[in-house]
Amino acid sequence: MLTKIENKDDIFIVTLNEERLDAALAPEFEGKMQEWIQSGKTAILLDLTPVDFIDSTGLGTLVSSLKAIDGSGQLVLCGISLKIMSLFKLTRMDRVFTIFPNRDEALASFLPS
Amino acid sequence: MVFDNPANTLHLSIMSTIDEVRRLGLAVRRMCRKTPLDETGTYLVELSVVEAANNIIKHAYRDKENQELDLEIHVDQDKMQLILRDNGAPMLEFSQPSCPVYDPNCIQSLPEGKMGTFLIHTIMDQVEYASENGRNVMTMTKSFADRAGDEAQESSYELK
Repeated sequence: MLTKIENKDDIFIVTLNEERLDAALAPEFEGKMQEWIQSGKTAILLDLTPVDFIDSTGLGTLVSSLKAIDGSGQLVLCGISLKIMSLFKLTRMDRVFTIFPNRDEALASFLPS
Repeated sequence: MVFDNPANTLHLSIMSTIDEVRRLGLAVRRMCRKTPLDETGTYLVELSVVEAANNIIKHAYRDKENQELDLEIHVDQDKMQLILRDNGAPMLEFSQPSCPVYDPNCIQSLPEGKMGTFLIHTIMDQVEYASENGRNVMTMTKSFADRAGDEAQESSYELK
């Protein structure tokens, strides 16, 4: 799994450099997200700009990450293409996740620690 | 193995592993280029096939590898048909499920799975399932004329 990790103002930025977040990638991706959250990353920005396809299993890994960080921090998403937003809307997950079109707006949304 | 004959029909067989499902998805994407579907419509049709194939591997074949899964795609002027065939355990119940119910404000209640069948029925115009002599057939039809139900395609980005 290809990811790019950056830290900016205590925000842990993960760019998923994969074309597909699907059932094949989901176990590894979910494992890494849980590892980061359990290691104390409480402000996570997940940049999905390179991702061209997400299935419901991939979406499920985002949900499990949100559950893991719930109450202790923030998980914000950005870079979701219009077509993948249709999956979020059909499952009503667009009402659940904090989503911004680009990284700058997403970074500005984090509450100061 | 892929057979393209004629240009508007495609047959593809894969083995029953999750990694192989990607090949089905890419084949669907390729065939959608022959249709009027836009980028979002193409993604949703690919998503339907991927969800159906994942369900077959997980439930019909119970993650048993080296089982056969066939996809047949027909593109007509007004619709496309996507037919998946497998030799696994048949579905005992086939009905249109509703979207999992949850409270968006209660994070811990959010569903992490079981959305695939709901998505297939929501995206496709018609979904049929039959099982006979150990062969299961799911036929999904997507009309190009009727874009109702694809409201997600029309929606703009909604910021929280």
